[in-house]
Amino acid sequence: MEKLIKVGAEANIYLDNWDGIKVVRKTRRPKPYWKKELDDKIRRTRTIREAQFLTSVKELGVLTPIVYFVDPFLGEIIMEYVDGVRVKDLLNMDSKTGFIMLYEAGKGLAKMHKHNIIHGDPTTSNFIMRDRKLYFIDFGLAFYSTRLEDKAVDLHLLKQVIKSAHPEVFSKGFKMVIEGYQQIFGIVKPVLDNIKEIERRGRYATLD
Amino acid sequence: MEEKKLCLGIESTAHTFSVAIVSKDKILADEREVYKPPLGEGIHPYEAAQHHFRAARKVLQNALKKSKRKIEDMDVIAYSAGPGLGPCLRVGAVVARSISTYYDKPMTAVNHAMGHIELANFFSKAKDPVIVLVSGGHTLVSTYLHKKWRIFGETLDITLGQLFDQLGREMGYNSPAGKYIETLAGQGTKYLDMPYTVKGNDVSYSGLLTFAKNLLKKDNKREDVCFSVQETAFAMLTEVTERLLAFSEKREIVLTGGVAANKRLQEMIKSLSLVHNSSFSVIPRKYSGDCGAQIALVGLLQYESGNVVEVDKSFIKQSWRIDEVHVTWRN
Repeated sequence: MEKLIKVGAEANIYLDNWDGIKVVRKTRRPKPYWKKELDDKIRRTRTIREAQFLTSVKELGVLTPIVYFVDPFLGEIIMEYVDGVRVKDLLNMDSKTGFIMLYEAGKGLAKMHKHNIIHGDPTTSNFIMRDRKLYFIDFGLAFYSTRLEDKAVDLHLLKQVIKSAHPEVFSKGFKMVIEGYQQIFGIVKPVLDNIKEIERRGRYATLD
Repeated sequence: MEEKKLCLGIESTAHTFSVAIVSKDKILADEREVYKPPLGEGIHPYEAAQHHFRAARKVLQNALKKSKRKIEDMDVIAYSAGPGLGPCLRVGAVVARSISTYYDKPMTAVNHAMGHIELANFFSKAKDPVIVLVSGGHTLVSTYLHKKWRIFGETLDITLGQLFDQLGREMGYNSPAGKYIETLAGQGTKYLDMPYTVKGNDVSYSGLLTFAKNLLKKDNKREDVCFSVQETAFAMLTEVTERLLAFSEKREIVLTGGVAANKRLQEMIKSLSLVHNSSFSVIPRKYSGDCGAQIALVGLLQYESGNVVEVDKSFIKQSWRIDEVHVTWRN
């Protein structure tokens, strides 16, 4: 019944049937090349964290899959299957809709940041469009922080991903993210300045 | 049969002054002299540059002798233009300009990191790999897309090489200290809990360094500290490598740069390649560190795709990111 649909960076994603519902089962694989103490700790904490944030951000108006069941010791979450298109693929197929979704991604991140939640891994493969609505997935690196720096890092990561994976739509794409972000967050200059600061700290960055 | 094009490459970004002579499919010579700082100290840029100036003539002569070629046989002179230490870079650039002017040979300016990447690809024969570049100057994961090697994730502060060198210095070793750390780590048994910092696709090692230095001051066994630092630092790197593999959906991994010589790192990345049904290759030990071959090889690729620089426009750039280089020799 279960079907492996994606071997992710740290987890295997299965399509499964859970009590008659079509679900996604996300299992964080033990890493044979890591020390067991480190591996167990990280898999357990990320599983718990992910389940908590998937649920808590819903209150802020951020769409996420519904969590049905969590097993921190197995590193497993059973959740709703969001049958849609990854923004990563969407940008290659239909950039116009892709831009709208990046705008939505900016809005979603701002909703979280306003409440001091940092996604931690905002890549275009972690945004899924279903029925022209944007869903956020993969909260394994999410955390609470009031620091502007952490919010800027979140945006910086997304910027880096668009730049490296979607270079042909980079400037418009990131602009859409910022416009969406601004609509919710209001004044964005401090956070944009902080992104520049992060880039300046980067290795061999050109100073300007 | 058409004579194969030859490139003479000069490397001088940091510790190493090296001259290599390569053709498209062969390294004919690769000669080096390495500057060694005093025990317990790091590289001093001006002293390193002095060393390079003194070594240049002999290294060049040895390379020519080894390759059984004359400068007149060369088609192009390549030099490492950056990123690196200014005084050291200038030595390589001056030597390249002199040869180029005197023998009337075209010149080409090579990005040092590009050298690590393409030399590893030369040996691995990988077509479209995920690159893990780990050295004293770089710690990044990259893959090729639309005329550029894109940086997907990198260190936000110090590199793996710097982490090991600075930890080594704390224990009285000179740089590069990677091999001492690896040996000590091999004798460690106890895993000490360490700060683990991955931010999305990026890693940060500065907190780990401070933490490890403090552990050394508090009577912990050196072996255990080195072992734990290595395990944690490499775990962070393997995590971002896995992220890029998953994201790019590519199926080849190539490990390169000075720290690629570390056996434990090789073992970890090889193991993750199996999980992702990917091929794994690592640059040969001899070419993992800085060398002329990396510069000569890219120099040849650049020359053959029309990328040369006039002597009076030749430059050095202490800061030069790999994703700023427009790749002329790949589709």
